[in-house]
Amino acid sequence: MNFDPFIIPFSVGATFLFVWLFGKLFGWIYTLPKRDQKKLQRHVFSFRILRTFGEIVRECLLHFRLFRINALLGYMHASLAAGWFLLIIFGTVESKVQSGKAFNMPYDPIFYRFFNHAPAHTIQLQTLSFLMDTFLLLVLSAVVFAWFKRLRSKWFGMRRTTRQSRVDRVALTALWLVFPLRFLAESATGAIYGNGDFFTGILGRASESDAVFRMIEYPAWWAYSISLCGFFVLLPFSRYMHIPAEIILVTFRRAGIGHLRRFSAFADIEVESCSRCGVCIDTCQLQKDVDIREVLPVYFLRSIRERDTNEKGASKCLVCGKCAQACPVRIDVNNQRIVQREEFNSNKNFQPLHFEKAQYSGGGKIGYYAGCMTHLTPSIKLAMVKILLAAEADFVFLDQEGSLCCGRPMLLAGEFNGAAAIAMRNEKLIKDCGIETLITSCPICLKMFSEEYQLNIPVLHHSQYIEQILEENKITLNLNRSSYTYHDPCELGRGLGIYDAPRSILTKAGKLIEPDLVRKHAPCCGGSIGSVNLTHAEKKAVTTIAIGKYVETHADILVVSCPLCKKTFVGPNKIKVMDIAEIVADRCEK
Amino acid sequence: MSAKNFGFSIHKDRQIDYDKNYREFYYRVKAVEPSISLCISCGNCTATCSAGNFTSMNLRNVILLAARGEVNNLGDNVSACLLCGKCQLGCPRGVNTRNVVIAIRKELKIRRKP
Ligand code: SF4
Ligand code: SF4
Ligand code: SF4
Ligand code: SF4
Repeated sequence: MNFDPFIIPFSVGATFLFVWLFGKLFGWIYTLPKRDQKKLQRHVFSFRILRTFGEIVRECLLHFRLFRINALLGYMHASLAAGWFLLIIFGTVESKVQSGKAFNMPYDPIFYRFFNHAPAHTIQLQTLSFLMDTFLLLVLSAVVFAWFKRLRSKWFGMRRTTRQSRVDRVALTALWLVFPLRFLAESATGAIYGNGDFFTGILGRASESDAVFRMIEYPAWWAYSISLCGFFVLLPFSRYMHIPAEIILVTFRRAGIGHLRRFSAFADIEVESCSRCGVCIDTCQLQKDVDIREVLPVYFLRSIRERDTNEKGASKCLVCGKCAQACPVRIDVNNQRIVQREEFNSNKNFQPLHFEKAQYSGGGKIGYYAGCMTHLTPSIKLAMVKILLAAEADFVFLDQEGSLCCGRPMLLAGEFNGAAAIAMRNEKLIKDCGIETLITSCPICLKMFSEEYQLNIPVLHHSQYIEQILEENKITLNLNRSSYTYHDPCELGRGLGIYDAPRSILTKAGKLIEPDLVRKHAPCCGGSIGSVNLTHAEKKAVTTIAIGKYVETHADILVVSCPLCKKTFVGPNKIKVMDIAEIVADRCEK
Repeated sequence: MSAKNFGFSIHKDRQIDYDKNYREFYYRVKAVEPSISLCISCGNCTATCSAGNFTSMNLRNVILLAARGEVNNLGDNVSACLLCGKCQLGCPRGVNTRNVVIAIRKELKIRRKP
């Protein structure tokens, strides 16, 4: 058995880490609801687990999504993760091949060169030794890139980078030391005994005498072991917890486990999976336009993890989802946000007092539900009625006399009980009307209907319906020379993935000029119902900057497909703002 | 003895007595949501209110009573609010009405806990 006292720090650190991680994993699985435990079990013992492995390799090792964001950033993460992983795997193989035994000490591969002075003599060992040097070079290149990123983050596609906490900085230092120290230690041993390969042999070949190497060899192995120990011990308390947590997250997610209406094991795994890469920072309009940083997922998730109250971060956020769509770990930040709001919630006992009075009118196949925001922008509902009449649809205006709220604003405020109570009542009202298709003008309602209601009938946004009747030639548009630019509402675009229907209508109505940021990158109008306490001035700043980008396109009309966006954008602007239904109503011919 | 019907009645005294009223309530809410002080009691919020369609919720009145420190009957009203945010769109003064409601709810709860 190989032994030297310097393996002790490494072994202590590694043991601690393993015990901690298994404890964590056990805790997570234990606190899952029974239903989710079953799902997990079924997933792990099925062939679907192979796809999960695939995703783990793609995302946790090779970091494909980061490559898509920026090649340098992707290379930096991938070479560190994959390089280190390969070092561990091939190191293990190398030490087993060399000793000829299937079982050896777990630290043998880590300190292999120290214990095996003989140069590689067989072709297998030579190949392995060559590979090991290649992987070490790969990892070291990642470390160099990481240093470089500190100086020139723009090259990595990031304007602002994360402000790291103290424990993160210490862990980072330990990590950055591990591989240069390994290189130094292996090089020193290589110089003395001539067992270094093309890379770890460089120092030995460069100098004649090995006196210096004899002096530094032993301390270097000690330092290597200590830095590994430091990293392992700090890992659970630093951002590097994301390495094991992300693997679990991918598995849980693929097993069909998701957020609950409280802070659950799944939410905890997500929080720990945030690598604090900072990719989300540049996407956030609150950060860019009004300098509110508490909302940024990177800091917000950190405050959750550290059990810090961050009420501002929870409540100011627009829940626009721009950060979430950028996140390479696919953390569901929006749900994290509203779950945290529940913690500050003040009205857990909301009872919709007299909402039995609410009544909707039935008597048609298609039900048109304007939604309360649309009642505040009456031109939209009038336009929709005109279109429905033109298409000779058998329709009924459900909430002509005013609607009960769909419940989503309350859900976004984190008041789950109230939201569920309203939704239940509203769902019943809609069902009692006996319609076969539901059309709504409000993306907020639409999102709620499709995700929280069990209506069992098709639910469409009015843009989808208009696209449909245009295709069926129930109405036609007379073309004119107007040019349009289109704003993707958060709830309709990022929220529901409806990007094409409005665009297909607009290309039929005139010329569509797209701004810089479209589809999932489109800005929030600033009026989002998702924010609880953004001030009027802050909203105004976000709105002004957002609309500026549309003005730059020099289109005649800014088209939206959400009453709230319209209400937010209208004002003394250099561009006219209209809902897509109004455009169609103006031009439709039978 | 039944009261004699004189053909008119007298309202209960509606004197606003700042010595008795809980004015501190208003300042505490204002600390959480400063925009409450911008309200001019125009009533736009009440006109748009979804909850007001079905209940006695009247945000203009709620804010007015809160400002006077007459907080005893606020509870039922503010707990009917759906947080739908229509009032906010209607408000000409940029009052963050949703958060006013949330802040009032919170304050009422703190007060109820003796
Ligand atoms: S939330 Fe996502 S994008 Fe933001 S720092 Fe965390 S992992 Fe990176
Ligand atoms: S949801 Fe929008 S406002 Fe909130 S942190 Fe993300 S990008 Fe910023
Ligand atoms: S948020 Fe409340 S007070 Fe305002 S309109 Fe909606 S229900 Fe009424
Ligand atoms: S609309 Fe605004 S200013 Fe008018 S009463 Fe309501 S809160 Fe006050």
